[in-house]
Amino acid sequence: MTSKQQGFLFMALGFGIWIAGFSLLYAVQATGCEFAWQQVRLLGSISSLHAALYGLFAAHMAGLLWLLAHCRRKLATTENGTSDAFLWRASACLTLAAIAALVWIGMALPLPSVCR
Amino acid sequence: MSEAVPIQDPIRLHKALDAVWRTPPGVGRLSAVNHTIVGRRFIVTAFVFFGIGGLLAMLIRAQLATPRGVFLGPEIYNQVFTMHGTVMMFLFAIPLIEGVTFYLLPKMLGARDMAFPRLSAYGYWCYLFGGAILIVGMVLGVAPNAGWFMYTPLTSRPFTPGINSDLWLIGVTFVEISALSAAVEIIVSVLKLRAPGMSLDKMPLFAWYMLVTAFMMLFGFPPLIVGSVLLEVERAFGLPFFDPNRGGDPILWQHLFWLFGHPEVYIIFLPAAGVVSTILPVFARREIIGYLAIVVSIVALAFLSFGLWVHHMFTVGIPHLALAFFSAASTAVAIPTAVQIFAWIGTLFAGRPQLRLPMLYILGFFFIFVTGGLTGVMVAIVPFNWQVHDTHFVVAHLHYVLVGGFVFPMLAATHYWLPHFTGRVPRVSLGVAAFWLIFVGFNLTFLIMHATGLLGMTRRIYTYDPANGWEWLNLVSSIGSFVMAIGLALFTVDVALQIRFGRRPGRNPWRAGTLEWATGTPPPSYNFASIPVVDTRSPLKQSTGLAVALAQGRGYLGFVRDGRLETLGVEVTSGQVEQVVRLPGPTYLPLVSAVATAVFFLAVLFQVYVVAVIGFVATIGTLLLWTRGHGDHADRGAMPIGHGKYVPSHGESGSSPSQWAMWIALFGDATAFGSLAFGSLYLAIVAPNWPPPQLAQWNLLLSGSAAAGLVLAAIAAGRSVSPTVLPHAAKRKRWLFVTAGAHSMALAALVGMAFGVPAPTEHAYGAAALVVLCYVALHVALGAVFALYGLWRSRRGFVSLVRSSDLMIGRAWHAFTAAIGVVTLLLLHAMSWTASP
Ligand code: HEM
Ligand SMILES: [Cu+2]
Repeated sequence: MTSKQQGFLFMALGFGIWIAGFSLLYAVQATGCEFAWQQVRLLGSISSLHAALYGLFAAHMAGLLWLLAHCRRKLATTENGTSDAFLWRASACLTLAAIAALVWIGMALPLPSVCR
Repeated sequence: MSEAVPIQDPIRLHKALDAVWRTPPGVGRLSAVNHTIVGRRFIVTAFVFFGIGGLLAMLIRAQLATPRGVFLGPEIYNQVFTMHGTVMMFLFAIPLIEGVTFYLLPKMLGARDMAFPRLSAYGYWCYLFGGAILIVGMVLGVAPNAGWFMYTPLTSRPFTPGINSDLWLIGVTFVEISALSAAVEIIVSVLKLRAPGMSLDKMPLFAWYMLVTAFMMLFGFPPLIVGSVLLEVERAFGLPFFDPNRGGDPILWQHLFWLFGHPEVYIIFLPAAGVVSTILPVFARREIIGYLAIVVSIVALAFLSFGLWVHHMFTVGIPHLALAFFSAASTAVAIPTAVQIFAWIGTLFAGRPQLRLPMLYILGFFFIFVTGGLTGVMVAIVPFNWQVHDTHFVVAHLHYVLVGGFVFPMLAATHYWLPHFTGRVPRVSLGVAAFWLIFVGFNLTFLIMHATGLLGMTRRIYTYDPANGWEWLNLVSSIGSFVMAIGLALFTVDVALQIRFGRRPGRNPWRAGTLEWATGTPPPSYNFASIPVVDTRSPLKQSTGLAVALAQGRGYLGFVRDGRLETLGVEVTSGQVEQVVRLPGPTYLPLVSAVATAVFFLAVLFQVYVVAVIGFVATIGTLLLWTRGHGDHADRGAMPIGHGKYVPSHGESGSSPSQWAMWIALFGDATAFGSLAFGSLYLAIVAPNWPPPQLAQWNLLLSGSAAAGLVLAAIAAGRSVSPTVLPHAAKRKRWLFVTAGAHSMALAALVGMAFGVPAPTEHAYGAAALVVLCYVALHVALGAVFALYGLWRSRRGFVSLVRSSDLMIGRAWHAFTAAIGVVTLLLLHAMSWTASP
């Protein structure tokens, strides 16, 4: 992989993180319900299942934020109008869209009926 | 290199090129691999299937026109709607996309063919034979009858004992070979086979659309294929993957099917949107607005569409939180779709639009597709979904999306590109009349279906009671469908008239900017007499004399060298010339391989497994034969391509299309493996009636030897391509032997493990373990074959320090096999662990 091809690869990375986060949220929710993690309470009211889901959300969000910063840094150091600049700009936009998409599904997380 | 002198005389150049590129006439046509011909075949065959699917739709509407219809009985009705859906989705929509792409893509990218012409030909035969299996079954009255998504347990042996479901599972899987091979081929062609200078941001939008779509096919089809194989194995051998009494779960089928099924909808829509993004700017007479925004939105759409599959399962009883995830993701896809629609509308407003016939269809597409999108958002909302699930409201929604979002753009495409196929434009046009019949007929049929759905008419019922109050609605809907059918017939007549009697307009009748209009029409076998340099998104706008200059051999490769078929390969992102790609000419091998594959599938269908094994081995054997006569016996170094430039042949470039193809194919393979692993874990965690009565006692010696063999094979294969080993035939030989030997050891250990699996027909635990083991064992066995094949290539002098492509491809396979092998061993131990009480 040459540095040239990096921008192209990064176009897939933002939503790659999104789909990983999405699948994991669903998988952990289903698995947790199967093993009744929602009944294990942490910190008073938060169940361990909910905590795991928030943790997953935060981890993927952190990854996406780092990625956004990285793409913007790269974009700033790439000459305008080149194909590299195009790819980094596309990557940055896609990462931003992935962040929005993660927030959008994350809004469901506070729902109390995790397993019903 | 005297033979590399450019030929300046267009006629002589044409003759020289055509002599090496053309397909022989008569029976020789069966040897065609050229993308123009194969693409055309896909398109024509797909439209024939559209006719068949349409006929079935007419039967449905005839039956539903009146209450208590006696036209079709319940059994026939089941077969008819199942085949209608199956034919439309698998035999019409996807293959039509493949055909249009094969035909157009190289021409738009400035290449002389697709990267793997024989693979496209093989894909075509698989499509034709697989489709034929389904149609023959229908004619014999044993067509699949359980709906196009084949839900278990209805499709399991006890409830569908006949051959009907097997026909679907085997026929569709056979056809899907063509989708997977097309996916790999399209990706590699877009990435590698472009005109010099065409960096990714200069690509025509259609290429972006197809690049993204092909990736979706690569990740979307494996879950379906895995699901189909599991269901066929359950039906044939009684391994209970979907039987809840024995630790299986019918919901697993729904997951695997819709993991494919929802992306499928976008796999169908995106190419159609690509067509719109190509045609619309031509008639708006300006560049499209928002190139970057469109690229971003199609990538986003592709990913989002993989996060929606559960919205087809909102009624199976899923916790609220999960429902909310999938409902949210389902509404989110509307946004990237809307971005494209606004880009199109903006382009129309900013341009000076002309209402020509293709544009009429695009306006029809806007209207219908947007309506379908709106009802789509409605059914994405869970409570509404619960109300209309499995009613004709959903039937109406899906046709607004599929007919509006796919059929209309494809009809536009037909009118737009027909002059390219035939070199003719219409004298008189029935097209406008046909359009209005189709448009009005469509809305009459399906707008009304929303109402019958809301009034409670469920889908897939062959009859209804007059007391329900659906009578006149259904009658009008049926009349509408016949109006639409008349429109489509008129459309066909119009096309036939144009092909037969059209006027010859000369090049580029629509004044388009994309490169496909720089070829002659109809296109010559080699597309471009010489290959252009591209530095803009609409090269034909930039330089109107381009077509003539290319015909005069003033681009690259304006000559024939060694009687070989040559085109240029570029660096992926920048589009700098990198290699001369030498392509294969006409050959019967793809047909032979496809016949061998057909033997395999038919033998599985009729359960003669000895023959199936023969068919499988013959398929692999004939596929390996494809490489005979390809490659060089000595390093050639850089070759002239014209204009004083020199680049190596693809085999010496270190980045050959075949290497890319292997990597890409392994992504698809990984998805299949992932689906299998997901299925096993899903059963272990979610399915009822676990833990199993008996767990495997894995012998650590066996799993240890399997792991050791797998890892050793990968390491040895890695050594065989290291710079210190590659130049020495003897050292290469040694490491390749080690690779093959290590694979044999792993294979023996895996077979040993398979014997330790507890009775696979008694519980899904044993069934899953056995299937995963078989999956790895198959890879290991093929790994041994590939290692020996590498040895043979090496012995025959095809390998050197720079000509390492053959071994690099092998190495990728061995590394992948080791990876999935080790994961499998971990998975098996994990399954024993989760399953133990
Ligand atoms: C040409 C006009 C068409 C008409 C009049 C039509 C009519 C129908 C009707 C009435 C049904 C519901 C049958 C039932 O549930 O009892 C149906 C189902 C279906 N149609 Fe169409 N259709 C047309 C075109 C298409 C096209 C172009 C596609 C796809 C590209 C398509 C895909 C489907 C699918 C997937 C189903 C579901 C089958 C099932 O329930 O298993 N149809 N069609
Ligand atoms: Cu869907």
